[in-house]
This record gives sequence, C-alpha cells and structure tokens, in this order.
Amino acid sequence: MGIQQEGASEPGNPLLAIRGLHTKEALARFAGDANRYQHWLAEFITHGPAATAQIREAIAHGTRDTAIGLVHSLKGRVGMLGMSELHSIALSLEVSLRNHEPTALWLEELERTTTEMCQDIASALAVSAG
Amino acid sequence: MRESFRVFVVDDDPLVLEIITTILEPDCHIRTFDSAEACWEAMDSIRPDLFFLDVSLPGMDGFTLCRNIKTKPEHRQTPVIFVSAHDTIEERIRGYDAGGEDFIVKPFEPEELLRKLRVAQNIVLSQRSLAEQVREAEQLSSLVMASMDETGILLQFMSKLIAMDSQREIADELLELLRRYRLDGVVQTRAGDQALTVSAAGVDLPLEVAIIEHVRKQGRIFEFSRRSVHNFERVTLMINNLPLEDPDYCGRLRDHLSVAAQGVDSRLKAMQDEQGIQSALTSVNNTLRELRDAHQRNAADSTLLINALQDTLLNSFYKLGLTDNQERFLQNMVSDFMARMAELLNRGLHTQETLQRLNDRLEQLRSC
Repeated sequence: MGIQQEGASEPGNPLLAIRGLHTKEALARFAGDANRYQHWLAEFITHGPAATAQIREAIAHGTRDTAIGLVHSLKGRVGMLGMSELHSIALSLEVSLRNHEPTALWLEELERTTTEMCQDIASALAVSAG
Repeated sequence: MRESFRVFVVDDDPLVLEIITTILEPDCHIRTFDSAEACWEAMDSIRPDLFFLDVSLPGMDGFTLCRNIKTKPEHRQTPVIFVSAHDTIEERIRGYDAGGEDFIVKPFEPEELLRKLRVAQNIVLSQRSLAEQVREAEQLSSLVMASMDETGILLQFMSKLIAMDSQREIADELLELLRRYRLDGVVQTRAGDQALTVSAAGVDLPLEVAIIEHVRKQGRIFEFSRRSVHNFERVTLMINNLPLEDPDYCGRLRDHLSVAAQGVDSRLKAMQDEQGIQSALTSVNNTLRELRDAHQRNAADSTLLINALQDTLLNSFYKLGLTDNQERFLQNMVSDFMARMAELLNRGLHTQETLQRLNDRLEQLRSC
C-alpha cells in the first residue's frame, strides 16, 4: 500500500497534539505517507478559510443550494483529513441549511474552529520542519 | 487481476482522488476524473470494470451519471459504488434507484474501500465466467443447429435417392444438394458404358469431362486448392469452392458429401443390377416359350405319327391273310402301345402347362 514513511505517527510528532485531528486514521488513508498527508494539511491552511468565506458569502446572498454544496465539500475534505470536530460542525451546518434552520451559530463555530485548526497545523508543521 | 481490472473514480476533490488511488492502486488500474462529464466521455474509449462515483459533483451529479451508465448495454453490468459524505437513508435509496450497487461514506477507512473492491472484483469475475459460459453455450447450440440443418439436407437427398431411376435425375439432384450446401461443382455418374457429366454450366461440357476423367483416378477423396473430389466406382463429385475459411464446416461437408456420393454409387449399382435381372428374365422367358412351342410341335407330330402307324397296321391285316386270333393279338398289342403312347403325350401336356405357368410368372416379375 505505498511507501511507509516514519514521522507523522510517532509519539513526539506535534500533529498528534492537535485537538480534533485524528492523525493516525488519516495517515492510513495515505498509506502511511507522511509527506503527502502534511502536504494536504498545509494546503488546508489556505483552503479551509477560503472555503468558510465562500460559505458565508453564499449564505449572505441567499444561495442556499450553493452554500449546501460548499459545506458538503468541506465536510468531505475535513473528514478525509481526520478533522473529526470540524467534520461534525460542517455536518450540523449542512443539516441546518437543508432544514432551513438558523445557521449563524454553526457558521461562526465552523469559522472559529477552522481558524484554530489552521493555526495549530501551521505551528505543528513549523515545529516538524524546524 | 490488477492489470485487467480497471476502476474509474469520479470526485471533484483532488484529495479524495489521491486517497482512493493510493489505497486501490496496488490492486487495480485506476483512472480518475474530476467531473461526471469527463468520465462519460472516457467511457467511449475505455471499458471500466468498476465505478466509484462521488454523489455531489459540479454539473452532472453522481446519480445522473450512474443512470446514464446503466442505459449503455456494454456498461449495464458494471458495478457502481457511490462515495458520499452525506450518509442518510434517503441518499442511499436515491443511489439504489439510480442503479448503484453499493454505497460508501466519507470519511472511509482504507480497509472498507478495499473490501468493496474485492466484492466488486468477485462479482466481475463471476460475470465474466458466466458470459464466457453463455458464449460457449451459444456457440455450441448454433453449431448443433447448423449441423442438424446440414444433416437434414443430406437425409432429404438420401430419401429421394431411393426412388430415382435415371442417371440424369440422380446427377441433377446431387447438383441441387451441392447448391443447398452453398457449393459449386461438377457431378459425373457412370452406369455401364454410359457416363454423364453435369454442372450448373451444362451437360457433358468437354473441359469438365476432361477434368473429371483426370481427377477420378486420384483416389477416394483428395483436395487441391479450394477443390475437393470424392471418387466412387460409379460417381465422381468435384467441389470448386470449398469454404476453407470455416474448417469446421469443411469437415462436416467432407463427411456429408462422402455419404451422398456413396449413396449415389450404391443406387447406380442397384439400377445396373435391376437392368441385368430384367434382361435375364426376358431371355429365360423367351427360351421357355421356345421350349414350350417345340414341345407342343413334337407332341402333335408324335400323335400324327402314331395315328398313321395304327391305320397302316389295320390296312395291312387284309393283305397278310392273318387268322382272327392273330389279328386280335396284333390289334391288342398295337392298342396297348397306343395307350402307353397317349399317356406319354398326356405327360407332355402337363409339362407344357408347367412351362406356361413359368412364362406367366416371369412376365409378372419383369413388370414389377
């Protein structure tokens, strides 16, 4: 199942300390390839906030279907990366949108958690690189 | 299995495509697409064995793509597994209604994805095996049907052959048999000193006669180029357009034509024998008639001669001056011999009656 690379799942790895990030499960999806996993985590630092901004814009413009699609995509992405907390929040927001329920709280929660996740990832990757 | 098992994966998230590829690539050949449209287009040139379809896609969604896949006869049996981040019973029912075979929820574990792949591979292997069995069964049944049809043509010919009583009729029917087998050829039948060479082009064409005269000395069955020749004592059958591109059909034709030619040979021999018997019957009948006539004439002559002897003896009694006793003695003696002679003549009459009955019986046999 591909080349196993040591590092990401080791006890001292700072990624393991990030709250809401299931590194071991996510790394298994990359066949243990830590470099590829870290590549996608790094990519999330820009992708995550951009996605939440698009969701806010779609909700603000009343394009609910677009918003549902965007949340759905983000939910899939964070799920595959092992971000279980973000996955749960995205799921709640998607359900609220589908059920025409108020979304403000879930949207704010999504934005806040995404920001925290990005900061944690950036710090952990910096430590790993250093 | 890896090289021969092709999997199409459709997802608009490059991360998902990379993960699925990483997990499955050691076990199969993966092709990824970021839209349903791109996948649909690629299906014209490549036939996958399994689809992993994301449900939410820009443009055509996964359900619509699945429905389209299932409308194509060449893809109808190909398993479709939906990959969705939306895990509800409604979503699964929609997938089922679209014709999908399975459903996997994001985020999935690698083992789960591999398990789905193994199940699909087993399904495809079973389908291939079944398709191969069906293909073999169809081939066999068409072969049996063709063979039965060919045998039917031969049986029809053989049943008609029994009633044929001329060389020309036999040659024409043999040509018709060739035509029904989609063959072109020349037939020569021989009975006694008479040879008849017939083809679709005509009767006793000099070139055809010359060729047949040459090939009839080449053995029971021999072939050259697209021609095959079947030789028997009283018939030669030459095929000009043997279907060499179909060896099985060629083999069956060899058997059928040999049987037909052998049947014709037997029928011609029987016709010759019948003619010989007829001729012999006529000859025997004529001889018997002559014998009966001669016997009849001899009997009549003998009667006349005896009557003349009796008259001569009676007249000579007066001239000899015999006593009454001597005349009576001689008269009795002559009468006794006359009676024995008459008895002999009566036996001859019985012989004539026997000969007449033999003549009548032979006439009956000739007319059969």
